[in-house]
Parts: sequence; C-alpha cells; structure tokens
Amino acid sequence: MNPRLKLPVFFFTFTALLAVAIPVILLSDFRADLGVGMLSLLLLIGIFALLVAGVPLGFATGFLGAIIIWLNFGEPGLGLVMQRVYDLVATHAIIAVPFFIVMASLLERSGIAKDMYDSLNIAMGRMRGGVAIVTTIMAVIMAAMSGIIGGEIVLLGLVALPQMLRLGYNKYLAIGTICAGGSLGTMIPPSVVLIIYGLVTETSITKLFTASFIPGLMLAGTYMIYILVRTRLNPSLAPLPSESGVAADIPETNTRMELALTLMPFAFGLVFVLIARMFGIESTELVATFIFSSAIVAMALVAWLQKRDDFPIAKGLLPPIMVVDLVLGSIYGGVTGYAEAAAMGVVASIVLIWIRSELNTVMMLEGLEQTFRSVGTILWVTFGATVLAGAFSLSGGNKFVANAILGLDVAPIVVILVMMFIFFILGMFMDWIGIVLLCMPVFIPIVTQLGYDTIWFGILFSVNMQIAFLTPPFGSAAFYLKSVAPPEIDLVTIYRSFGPFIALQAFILAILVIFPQISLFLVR
Amino acid sequence: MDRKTKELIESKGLFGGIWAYVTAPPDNERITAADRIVTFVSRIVMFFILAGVFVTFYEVVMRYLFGSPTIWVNEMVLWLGSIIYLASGAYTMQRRAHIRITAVYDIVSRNMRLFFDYVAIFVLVVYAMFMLVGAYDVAWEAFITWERFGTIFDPPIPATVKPLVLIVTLAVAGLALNNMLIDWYGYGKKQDDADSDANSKAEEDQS
Repeated sequence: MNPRLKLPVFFFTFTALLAVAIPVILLSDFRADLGVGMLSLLLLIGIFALLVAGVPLGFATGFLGAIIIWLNFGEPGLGLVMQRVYDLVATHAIIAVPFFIVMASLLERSGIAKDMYDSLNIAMGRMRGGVAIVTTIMAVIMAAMSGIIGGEIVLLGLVALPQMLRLGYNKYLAIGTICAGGSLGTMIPPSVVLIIYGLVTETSITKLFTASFIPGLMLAGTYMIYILVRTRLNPSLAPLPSESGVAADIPETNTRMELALTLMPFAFGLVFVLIARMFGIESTELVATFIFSSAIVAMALVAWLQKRDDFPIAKGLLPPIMVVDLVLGSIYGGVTGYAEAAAMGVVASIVLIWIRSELNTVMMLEGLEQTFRSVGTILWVTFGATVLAGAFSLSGGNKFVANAILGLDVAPIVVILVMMFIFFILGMFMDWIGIVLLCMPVFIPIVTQLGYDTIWFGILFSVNMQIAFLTPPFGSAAFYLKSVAPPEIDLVTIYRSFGPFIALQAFILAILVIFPQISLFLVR
Repeated sequence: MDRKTKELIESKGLFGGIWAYVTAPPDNERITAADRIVTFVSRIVMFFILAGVFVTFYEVVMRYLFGSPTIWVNEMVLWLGSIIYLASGAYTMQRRAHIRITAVYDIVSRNMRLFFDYVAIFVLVVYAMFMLVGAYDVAWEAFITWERFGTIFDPPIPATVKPLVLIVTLAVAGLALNNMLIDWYGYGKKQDDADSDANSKAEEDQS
C-alpha cells in the first residue's frame, strides 16, 4: 500500500529507546501533584489529540489511564492497570457478547432471513407501502435475534432494497426504512450495546433488556405509522404492483392454515404446560416447559416443512419464531440468564441451519472468524476504558466533574438534555462503544446524584445511538448500506433519506425523557 | 477468508478442513512469521467460543432436563471466555481492525500519516511497558503459586489469566511494530499464488 521507506534504522532506534527509557522513567521516584482540575483538562486534550491521530481507542484510553495513575501514585500504583483489565476479563457477564455475535453471524450466513422476508412479503406485500412495512417488521424480528447492526442492514439492503426499487418505491423512503429498521438491532434486546452499558455502569443487564423492549417497539411502531401515513397521503411514493406494471411474484396460499401452523408450537407449549401442572411442576419450571417444548415443536415443524412448498409463510416464519421464543422467552421468563439464553440461541441456530442443510465448514469458520474479530474490537476498547475510568475516579476526577456540574445550579433535566446533546454530537463522529466508554464513567455518577435511574438513562442512551447510526458524516448504517446498494445510490442520497427517521427518533427520545415510566414500569 | 483458503477447506473433510484453515496463512498481502503465529493461535482459540456455547448448553440441559446443575460449567466458561477476550485482541491487531477514528488520518498527507503511526506505536509500546512494570510481580506471583479461583471447582483462573493479560498486551504492542514494518518498510514475504501452492503441497506431503 505504502511505498517502501528506506530508513528502518530510525524505527528500530525509536522502539529500542522506548522499551528501555520508559521502564527506567517509570521506576524512578517521580510524582507530580497536578490537582484534579488540571488533570481533567490534560486528559481531555490528550484524548482529543490521540483520537485525532487515529490511535486505536482502547490503547489511547489505557495509555492515558496508566499515565494518570503513575502521576498520582507513582510506580506502586501501576499494578492497578493490569488489575482493572483482569477484573473485567474475569466477569461472567461478558461471555454473552461472543455468544450473541456468533449467533448473529451464523444466522446472517444462512438463508433463514431471506426466507422470512419472502414469507412476510407473501402475507403483506400486496398492500400499499407493504414492502416497506415488511422490511420494518423483518428488522424487528431480526433485531430480536441478534444484538448487533451491520449484518441486518446488509441483508435488508440485498433483499428488500432491490425489490422496493423494482416496484417503484420512492428511494428515500426505501433507504430510510432499511437503515432505520436495521439499526434497531442494538435497541431491541438482546443488544450488545446494552450489555456493554450494563457492564460499564454496573446496571442489571436483564433489567436493561426488559426496559428497552417497549421503547424499541415504539421506535419500530413510529416507523410503520410514518410509512403508512406518508404512502396514504402520497400514493406515488409506494405504487402497488398493479400500478407500476411490475409482476409482484406473490404466490397464493392458504392463509388460515399458515397461521395455524405458525402458532402451533405455542399451542403445543400450552398443552405441555397443562400436562406438567398435573405432575405438580410450578413457577419457573412451568415457564421453562412452555419455552422448551414450543421450541422443540417449532424445530420439528421446520424439519417437516423443509421438503414441502405448500406453506411458504409458516416455513419462513417458524425458524425466527423459534429462536426468539427460546432466547427472549428464557430471559424474560426468568428461566436462564442472558448468557445461557445466548448459548441456547447459538445451538438452536446451528441446528436450524443444519436442518435446512446449509451447514458447512466454511460458513462455520467464517462465522467464528468474524465473531472473534468483533469480540476483539469491542472488548479491547472496554479494557482500555476500564483502566482510564478506574484511574480517573481514583484521582477524584469523577467527583470533581460531578461537583462542577451539580454546582452549576440548573434544573436536573437540563443536565440530562446537555448529556443527550453531547451524545448526539459525539455520535456523528464516533462508534457507540467509544461513547459508552468515554462518557459513562463521568456521566453515571452525575445521573445517580441527580436522582435519576441508570436503567432509564441506558435506554435514552441506546435511542441516542439509534440516531448516531444515522447521522452524517460517520453514521455507520449508511456505510453498511452503501456496501451493498446499487452504484447509482450515493452517500448523499442515503444521508438525505435519513432525515425524517432521525426526526422520528428524536421525537421518541423526547417522549422517553418526559415519561421515564414508559421505560421503567416493567422493571419495577 | 480468501477464495483459495475456502477451496482448500472444501477439498478436505470436516477435520482436515478445519486443520487446513488453522494452518493456513492470513490473507494479508505481506506476512511475517509473527502474523502466521498469531493467526495459528487465534484460529485455535476461536473454537473456544463454540466450546463455551456447548458447555453452557450442557449446563442448561442438565439443570432443566435432569435437575442436576453442574458445579464446573460457570467457571469453565469464565476461563474459556477470558482466554477468548484476550487472544482476540492480538488477532484484531493483526487484522488492523482495532477501533480508531480515521476521519483526520484519511485526509492528511503521507508524511503526517507516518507521524500519526509513530504516535500510535508510542502509545502502544508505552502502555505495554506500564503494564509490564506494574504487573510483572503480580502476574509472576500468581503463576508461580498457581493461584486458584477459590470456589468448589477451583480452576487456576488467576494463575493463567493474570500472566496472559501481560503477555497479550506485550504481543499486541509487538504486533503493532510488526504491522508498521510491513506497511511502511516493506517487510514480510509477499504472498502470491505460487507460494501458497507450495505451502499446500508441503502440507499434503506431511499428511
């Protein structure tokens, strides 16, 4: 990529000098008493400078954290650097991150999502704006199966975008629907964003999952209402197949029978629950009976339908229903923790892919490789940040910033709004992970002292990140879509189409700020 | 994964294919021995994710189907997990995939980029040195006394993971240097078709 430089001598001298000089400096008895205010300011400048220079985030933060510790406590304090990383690594909760990612990366390599899209399309594709609605529903179901975005947007971009364009949908509407819907992956549980937020702020992740469910559905609901209203007001935005003169390719099917088949697992689940009750099984075990038996029946139905073509809707919908039933059912039913639910989700996905005879070595290996890399990128940022957060709070920085803000004597809600604004601005330039790790150690103590709930704040944060995925110049959703969109759709078009959806997200955010009980009534 | 590796995997059976994948070189343009070692180790550790999944699944089955929860699964998964998280950092560095903000980096001149890369090297090496100076004693102590987790199953998590934090951090800094040598100074063997074919032939001869 870069032409060869001639001077490796400089490089080796530089490295050798560093490796020798740094330990010598560290072991010397140097200590500087800078004062907290000065320290916070230097930290802010340092972070900014290193990030601009493109230093990997996890190491920039870890480096600054180590320096703060050293300045304050000298060499004896440095053990803390490793201790912080070790404490985080030896936490059981993080295991859910690789599990959920591996599940998502296996599912996106199978044809399950494509089949689900086709079956939803058969059910709803005929109405006005139907494909856009199908896309949103599909995004919600996929979001309930995976905790990351990217794969989802790519998939919808490959499947739904060509169809909407072919049917003559307004391209802005089509693109906005795909990207806004696809971003829901980190809002609707299971969500890796919420897991990391929970870890960093020591909030119950199960409660976060419970609380984020309704706000996530509210977002999806507003998208759907928006699509319905706009296409009703201006039918030319979403022509019907008959109007655009394009064949819809929608086969006829026995809808009633399909519905019965789709709901059959739950009927069986209820039967098993009744049987189990006769044997005196109670409470959690009863829920477990329902979830596991319905999952097994769904699995059997999928296997049975695999060879048949007469029930396309049930065939496409049963696999995702089964996975969602198993994962979210186990978490919400209190049957297992979310890490165990994730493991069951992975096993279920592998079995489903095997039943569909799509399982092969290459896809498994690719899925693992992708997971491994994502785990590395997400968690190593967390490691650096935990060092920085530990160092900053040990030197009294948290208290200093909190006091400074509390001393401003403004209404608490104004502080929250300012934080939202900071999220918004940072979201234009940074990944969610960077924002969680840089802001939360400072913000959370303030939020708690102001008397707000950290669960509520987490929900607000993840809605904010929905906006961050869409805002230019670095909204990641746009880049994911661009990678699979036809060449005539450029980034400007993509960003332009986000406008109304960003407004909808801001509207939901405002509602959630004004009515905290929407997020909280389920967890109380 | 590049096309050649895929074909290699598909041409063998399940285990042969996995082994071919584990020993295959990374698909970068130029690679050094360090790249190959990291890739080899990472591709083994990747399977710990699946191991963790199945062990956790086994626990759920034992608990709900047979009513006898295990005592070892939780800590086993913790142990596997900690190795996964740490090892993934080195792999991510080899893939040059660590999260960084490239907005400015992408638009500045080539010399400025070289300078920025040196800043990154400085940060990484100094961070690793901080870690080394601060944690060497602790890590060595934990390893030499074979410090255990203090539970019923009692796996030696501190004894293995504490040194591992240190080792991987140093390895990541080393890999950053390695990447710099490859990307800027043209080190490493250029990978082309003839070379890889020779590799795969050599492997077939061995097996």
